Amino acid sequence: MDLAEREAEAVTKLHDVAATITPSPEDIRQRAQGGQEQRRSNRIVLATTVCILTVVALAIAWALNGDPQMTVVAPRLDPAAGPRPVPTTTNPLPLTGSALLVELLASLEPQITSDPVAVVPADLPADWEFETVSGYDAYSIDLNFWNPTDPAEETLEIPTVYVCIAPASESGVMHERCAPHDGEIAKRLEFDDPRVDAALIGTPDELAPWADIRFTTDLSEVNW
Amino acid sequence: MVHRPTVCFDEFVREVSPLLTRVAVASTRDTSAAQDLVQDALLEAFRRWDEISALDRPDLWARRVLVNRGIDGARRKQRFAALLPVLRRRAEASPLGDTISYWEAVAALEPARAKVVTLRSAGELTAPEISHVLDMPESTVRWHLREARGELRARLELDA
Repeated sequence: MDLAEREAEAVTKLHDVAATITPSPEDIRQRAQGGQEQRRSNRIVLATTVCILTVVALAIAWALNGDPQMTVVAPRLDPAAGPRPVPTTTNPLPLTGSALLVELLASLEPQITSDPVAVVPADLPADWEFETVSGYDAYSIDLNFWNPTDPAEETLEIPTVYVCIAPASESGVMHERCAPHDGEIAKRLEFDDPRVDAALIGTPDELAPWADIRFTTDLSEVNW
Repeated sequence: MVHRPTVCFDEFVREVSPLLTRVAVASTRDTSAAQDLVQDALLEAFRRWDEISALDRPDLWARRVLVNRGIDGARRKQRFAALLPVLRRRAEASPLGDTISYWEAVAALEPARAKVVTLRSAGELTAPEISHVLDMPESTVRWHLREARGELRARLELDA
């Protein structure tokens, strides 16, 4: 068999095969019609997606520009001066991804109106320092106690620390005694209530200006 | 093929789709891929029919679209060496049967030459028509056809 015969044989077979799949004008029109419907459907999906993203973007913008519910202040109080309910410095919490989300959720809850303030325990020894650090998410807050002049100090016993979550009508109390650790006593207080947008830390007297807060030492009473 | 000006899309499809399909099958050696190629080319012609119908030879335009997509696409497919066993199994089950070896030998030619031979054998185009479709000098088309004969003989282990 030479090349011409081989080619003729191949072309003949090609005709047979092609005849079975050759499209008609109707096939093309139907496919064009299907394509138009698909494009119309795609446009609807695109428009819906744009609307949803716009709403989410507006909600985030509103949350970020609204009342800064996440701000927590941790003023260094002079024990001799007694309770100081009004903070003089502010330390905004760094917003992590989840914190930002929680802030957004909190901003959508109009009943949360409390002032987010932390107050240092009044009976903390003068040479010890205390600070609140934002937790790893909006539901937790770290309480750090340390003695800068004696990092090896391991004997400090922290008095009762009350942590009240906002809002006052939903307040709860946590009662913790912290354990020493490498000169620094840290305790993370975790909250499970997604409505929490701030924590109040201090003794009952220190927290008195926020009069609606109720106190309890029975954790079972806390409505987290 | 005697060409006459085409003014109706349906008439255009009935006229060119058999030839386009043969070129597509020869290029891809795969009926599903060939169907997609032909329908894509005709769909594009449908969408741009006002423009395409004004051409002297709408059929050559459609063939150019198809042969470029078909042969280039088939070549890209061949680059995936790992898929060769799969492609071989598909070839064994091809409706082209034993004659697929001829089209595989054509596809193995260098790209421009493969297009020329495919348009000549499967598309039944003359050298001037191939020259028009591929935007290639007619003398080059004839040279490719001459060279291809020798290469195909060697690949198919045929006598001169």
